[in-house]
Amino acid sequence: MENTVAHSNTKIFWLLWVTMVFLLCLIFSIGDAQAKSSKDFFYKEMVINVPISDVDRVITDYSNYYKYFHHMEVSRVLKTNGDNSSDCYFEIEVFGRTFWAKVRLDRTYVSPNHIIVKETTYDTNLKELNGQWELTKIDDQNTLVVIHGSAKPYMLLPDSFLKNLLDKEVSAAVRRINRLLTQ
Amino acid sequence: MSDQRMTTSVERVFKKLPDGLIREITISYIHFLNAAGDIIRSKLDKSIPGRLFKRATENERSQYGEVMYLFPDEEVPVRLIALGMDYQDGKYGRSL
Repeated sequence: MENTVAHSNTKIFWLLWVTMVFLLCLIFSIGDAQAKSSKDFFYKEMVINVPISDVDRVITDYSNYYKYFHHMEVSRVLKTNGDNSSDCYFEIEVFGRTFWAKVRLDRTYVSPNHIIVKETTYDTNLKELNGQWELTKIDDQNTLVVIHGSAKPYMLLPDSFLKNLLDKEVSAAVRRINRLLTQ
Repeated sequence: MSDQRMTTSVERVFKKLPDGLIREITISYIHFLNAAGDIIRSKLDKSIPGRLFKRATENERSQYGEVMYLFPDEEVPVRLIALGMDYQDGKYGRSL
């Protein structure tokens, strides 16, 4: 009799275990599907009420990025390659871990009214990192600022969670830049 | 097997944003037809955010696109010009 009860309990335990693993796999796969449907992990656009040259000055002041990005602990310019290209080092602390990246930031003047600052990673302990600033002149006193890209650590995290976290981080950074420029 | 027929249509609209800019939105519909070919029901399939536009001043032009558009709450069509952006379908306007 006892053996039958014990056997039944073991079966229930394994059934619950398999169900839990299945549900976890389902949650993770949904997160991945959501992330793959969009090309970027973070995206923010904002109109800042200052001329494009002022926004350009702040966006390309890479050594002060730690002031705008909440989780960024270190931002340093390692080398400048002419007027429009810089090699930088960024360090971010999140989930109790330090993530770092050495990146090249290239500024391109598509036209006098349209500037792109593109980031290319050449050394990092992240799985993936890329991003781009885009400044578009609306008129003499208004500039559209767009930042988008993706970042992924070597950690088992649902993409939807990561996406949400990065979206919040860049949104806060753009708001800080807006405050700095408009006050 | 159902003999219900379907067709699709696409509508291009512009939505005013709080910051004064205008977002282009492409809306796809699925229409269900009866045997005579009349639409009996329509369903919104998807809406895709597109480029950002602004109201053009008199001599202002854009190489990225222009359009005349009549907003439902206005009486006269206005000329909208696209902002220069590194546009890729589906990338922009996630915050819409």
